[in-house]
Amino acid sequence: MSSSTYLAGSAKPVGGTRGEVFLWYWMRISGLLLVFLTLFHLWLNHIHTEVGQLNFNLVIWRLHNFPVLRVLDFLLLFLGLGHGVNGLKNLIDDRVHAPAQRAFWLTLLLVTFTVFLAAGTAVLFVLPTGGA
Amino acid sequence: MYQLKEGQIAYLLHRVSGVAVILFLFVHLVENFFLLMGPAAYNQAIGIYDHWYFRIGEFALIAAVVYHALNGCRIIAIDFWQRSTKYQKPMWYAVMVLSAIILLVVAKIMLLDYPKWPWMAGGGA
Repeated sequence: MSSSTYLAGSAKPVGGTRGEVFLWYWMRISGLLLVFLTLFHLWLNHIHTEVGQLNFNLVIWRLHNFPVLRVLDFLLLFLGLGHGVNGLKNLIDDRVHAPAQRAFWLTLLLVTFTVFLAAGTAVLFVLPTGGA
Repeated sequence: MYQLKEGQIAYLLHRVSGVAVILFLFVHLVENFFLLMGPAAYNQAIGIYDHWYFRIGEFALIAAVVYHALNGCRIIAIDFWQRSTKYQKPMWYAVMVLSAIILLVVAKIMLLDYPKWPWMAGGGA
């Protein structure tokens, strides 16, 4: 983020483009929501579920019988990918300055984000039926 | 190099842990795409986590998540409550102490009580 985005003594972004301000809020809001979503995800899969019980049938059965889990998993996917990929974008902004190199890495990042979001959403909402 | 005191260390650890988690997430998502390929393929894909060396990686992942989340809360506090900025150093020490406590508990559950280390009867590579 550019040095003009922050005033001394003020933590909130001042100046900077609308996109930068949005992303500033996005990281904090998505991050806070992810704390709760991640805790629940870890509890569900490691504490509520016995070790060794995790397999295809359990996952499919759970998603079919508790539709709220699909919503929570989608939120985890969208917020997690959005938060993490933007973090990688910050890393690229900090390390890569030449326009051609920036174009390469940022394009790679965008493609990665799109592919994972699309494929993950597809898995969640076009689930196969269970079967041994 | 900049002064390498609490603030810069906090920043470095936050970035390292964040990159570690997102790279894991990419691998984790690929493994879950196997759900579309049927039970045999998926169960085999998640079967790699049974090996003991993955256990250590999983613990490192939890460590990254715990620090990143706690320091993230510290960042949110600093950004939204102006008065808290003068406490940024004690807050970081609190983050480190809390992380250590949580990770000791997690280490007991994940590493100490794990039955599959190679030197144990039921374990092995």
